[in-house]
Amino acid sequence: MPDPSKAAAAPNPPGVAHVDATLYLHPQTLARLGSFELRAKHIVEGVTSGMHRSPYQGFSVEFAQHRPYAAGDDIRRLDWKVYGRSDKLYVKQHQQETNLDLVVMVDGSGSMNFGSRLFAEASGTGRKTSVQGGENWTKFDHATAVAAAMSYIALRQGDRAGLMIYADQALSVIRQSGAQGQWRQIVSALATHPVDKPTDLARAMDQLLAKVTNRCLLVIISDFYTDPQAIRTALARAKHKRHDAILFQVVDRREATFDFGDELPFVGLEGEPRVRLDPRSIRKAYLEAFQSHQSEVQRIARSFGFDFQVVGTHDWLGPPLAAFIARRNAQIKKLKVG
Amino acid sequence: MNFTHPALFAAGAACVAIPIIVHLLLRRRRKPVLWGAMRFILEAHKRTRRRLRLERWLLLAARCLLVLLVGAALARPLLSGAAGSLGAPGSRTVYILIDNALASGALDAGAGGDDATALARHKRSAARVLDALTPADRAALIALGAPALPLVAPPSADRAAVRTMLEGLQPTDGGADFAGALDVVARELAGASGAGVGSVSVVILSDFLLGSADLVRALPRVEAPRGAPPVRALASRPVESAPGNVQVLSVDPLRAVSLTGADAPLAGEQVRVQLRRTGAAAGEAATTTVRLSVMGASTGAPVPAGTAMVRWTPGQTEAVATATIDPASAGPLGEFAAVIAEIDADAIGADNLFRRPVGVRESLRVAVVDRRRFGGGSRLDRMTPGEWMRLALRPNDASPIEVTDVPPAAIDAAALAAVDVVYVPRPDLVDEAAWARLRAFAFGGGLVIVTPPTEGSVHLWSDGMARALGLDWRLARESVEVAGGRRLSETQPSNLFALLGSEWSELSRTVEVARVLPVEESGPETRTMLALDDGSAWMIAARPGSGGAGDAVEDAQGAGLVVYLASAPTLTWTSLPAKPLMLPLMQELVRQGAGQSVGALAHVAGGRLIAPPRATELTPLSETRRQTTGAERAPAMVDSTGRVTEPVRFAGLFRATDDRGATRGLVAVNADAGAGRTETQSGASVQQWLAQALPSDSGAPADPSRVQWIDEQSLAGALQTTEEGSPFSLPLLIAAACVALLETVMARAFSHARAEAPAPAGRTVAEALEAAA
Repeated sequence: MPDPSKAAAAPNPPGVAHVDATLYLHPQTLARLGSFELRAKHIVEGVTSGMHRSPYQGFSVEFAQHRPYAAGDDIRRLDWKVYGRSDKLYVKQHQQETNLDLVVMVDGSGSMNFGSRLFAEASGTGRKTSVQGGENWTKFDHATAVAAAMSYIALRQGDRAGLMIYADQALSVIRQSGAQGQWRQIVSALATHPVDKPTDLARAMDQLLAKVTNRCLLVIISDFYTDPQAIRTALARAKHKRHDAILFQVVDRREATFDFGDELPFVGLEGEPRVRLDPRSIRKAYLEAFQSHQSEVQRIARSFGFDFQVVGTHDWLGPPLAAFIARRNAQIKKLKVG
Repeated sequence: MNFTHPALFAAGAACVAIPIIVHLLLRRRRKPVLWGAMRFILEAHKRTRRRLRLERWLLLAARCLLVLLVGAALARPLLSGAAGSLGAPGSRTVYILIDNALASGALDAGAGGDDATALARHKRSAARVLDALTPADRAALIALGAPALPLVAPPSADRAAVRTMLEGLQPTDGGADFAGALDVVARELAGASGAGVGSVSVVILSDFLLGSADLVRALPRVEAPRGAPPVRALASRPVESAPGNVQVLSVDPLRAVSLTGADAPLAGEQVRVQLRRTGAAAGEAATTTVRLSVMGASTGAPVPAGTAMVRWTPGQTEAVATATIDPASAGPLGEFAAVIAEIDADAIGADNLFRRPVGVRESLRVAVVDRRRFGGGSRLDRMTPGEWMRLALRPNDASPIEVTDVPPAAIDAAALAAVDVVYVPRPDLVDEAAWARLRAFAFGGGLVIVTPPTEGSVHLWSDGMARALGLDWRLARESVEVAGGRRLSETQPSNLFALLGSEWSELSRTVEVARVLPVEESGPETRTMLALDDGSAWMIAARPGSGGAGDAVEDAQGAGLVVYLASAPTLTWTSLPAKPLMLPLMQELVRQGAGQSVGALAHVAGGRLIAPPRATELTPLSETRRQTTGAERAPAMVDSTGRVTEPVRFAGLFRATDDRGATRGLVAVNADAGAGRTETQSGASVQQWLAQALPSDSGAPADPSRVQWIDEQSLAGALQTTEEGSPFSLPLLIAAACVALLETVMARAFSHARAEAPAPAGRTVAEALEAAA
């Protein structure tokens, strides 16, 4: 089980850049998340036995059901007691418990490089700048924190965790693993500086699904400032592969409020044209567009049965994340009982 | 469009740039914001772009329009064209009285060229007035050069025609006829209706120099038509300084008729030249050279005939120079000649030249209208007045005066045409028809000498004479015997006898007067030539027609002279015939009296000329100048009364010809010396004077404040201001206020500063999103 405090002191594995994990995973966040276990709402297929139900029913300790014997079935699974009483051949099926494969998809597009909160205030470590030297706590920094937290939870409960950083395509991929040092590898990979390219979630999803063979819990962390249709396409493919997904939308408070004063020139981080305007004059229309887009993304996520959670860069990550996971576990338990 | 204050409008127009500059300044360089959610900005910008652009343009246009309207309102616009006529409250009538008299040609101090004269200034001002008028307005143009000439009257809406007349206006050589011009205006308004003329303005453009504006002369009252606003007067401010001017007042040969003959005309004749200087130069010592020249009616150019020098002492304003015509230079001149005196050029050139016609005769012919007396003795006490006169005028055969006898019944045009002087010793024998012929003779320049008849005690003939000759004389009905006899006054006699001046006292002392037919009443135009020691008139003279009554066709004075001697020149009435004074007195009376008619041919520009008898046309000889409106000078026509039909406003020398083309004499027109006076006059006195023309409703004294001063720059604006103010200023101000209100409303409506309150600090993203939702 990885311990970030220890991991921070431990030397990095060969080929892994040195990174201070505490930059992205605040101790308070870890304290909040320590008591929660990440449960896939869907049954996932794991290679190691864990706390998650597997869709593969087979040999396990927890009886599931009987079914008539069919040619080719393992005769070791015949329930002889039933055969003795009813002279019929039934095979016992058991619910298989498996490990969770968590794949965290972090949006590394240009728009994630925006942040209006000071790094020193957000990191809680006393550092004033990020690894890249930025003074602001960007959405990517916040996404990194969410990814670190989610992978930490997964690895802590013995599941495997993987990572994909993407923009218009996959930029960095770490295959899912439960080995020691996996969390550090993930965090080191997250130190990648975002690029100024637009997001192509569908393409990145295709690339990820091509590499993942078993069913996974996909944690997509992005601002989702892309075409909703592309999001729908990506999620549809994930759903088609029977993956579960959690969508974390990282939003900077300034983006949500758009409270600027005088006329300003705005320059897009993904190569959009420069535009000079009075923010006050378009604020209403902006917020309407923003809200409409967010609602649309949320609606798409919900339509596939995926969870959707907004996290703000100005908010502490621990409380909302803990609340979200707790709520999710409660939903899973309810499904399980039902 | 014109403006009362163009500078204010220019400033307002320039201030239109202020909102634009403010707009540009607000677009100062700002550090760009790197923004992630750019798609929403672009989407919002795309949705609101057109509306925001429209709002921005509307605000900018409102602000620019506001500044422009305020500027235009303060500048007081004077619209022209259809807009102006539609917006004006009513049409205006503007009478432009422009001074083109002699003094208007004076060069402004320190300037040169035709554009630097006062008239050029006045023309520019008049042009500005015309520019300020709208098509609904009408303008009249009256030149003040005496007599006042209505160039455009009645008022016309054709401003181009008025402008054309204005551009061709030239300074005349006469005075300024303010009264005549205002009279024209008064007559025009008297026949107009209030609705037809609208508001009436009289714009008077003059420097009001002493030579132009005679502040003593009363001005006619100009009243607005019924229903029209009171007439307003706008006048250019009197100048405070004017150039000095030296002028030739007169040229007086000692004898107006030279009896030297055509072979040696004017040789040795003395000429008296009177000069005057006015203006600032009068206080300095100076020297003026007078150049004399003579010319005949048939000679082409003046011939120099001598010079004279005048040395001015400081403060001296008038001087007399005497010169003798050089006999060597005087060639054949013909019967009609002129003496010309000229001085150096100065500010006003027209009055530097003076022309004086003189007669050149072999002899003078005198007709004595009396009954032929047969068998008369040679006793002195029985000699008739006619015989005494004959003896005095032709004491010997060498005398250049010829005397003929004409019976009273034989007075006809043919007999009078052959003589220069008519002596009437028996006026009681002259019938009414003969008086009429004598009237024509006197009006044509002849000298008529009348003495009372010795026969009879009751004299009733004087009324017929006075009526026929147009004189306001009234003579006693009966002759009066002077008890103890009277002597002649020793005071200097009339200028007519100037040559006797030095010996007058000695000559007159011996003359006694025993009987007179006294003059009971005479008019102001009558001159007393000789007086008795009790002060009563003994010899009087007047121009025919000076009384304004009688049978004269017109009330103008004739060219000749009528002389009345109160005593018949016989020894029973006076001892004069036997005294040494008789001969020089009668000689001078005839010579100078006959010359008076010649001298009468020297006129002042602006007056109506009297032509020599039987002349039908006056042809300019020299110094041909342009007419008031720039046309070439044409020959002046003479009517049946011997007067020129049109006033001559320019100086020059004219040859009078009859209907057969024969020369009948020379007529000189000289610049009006009085009009060339360049002394300035105070604005207050001029204002008071002009105010006479503006009647007050209550009959109160004229209010000088009703005469408004104007200058060249603000003339058009003053015209508008005094009339009814700019009719567009108030609407423009109201419009500006409306635009200001609209701008405020739009600015508040379009202001996005308070449209959305900024999110309070500390709000979470979720809360912000909820608030936005």
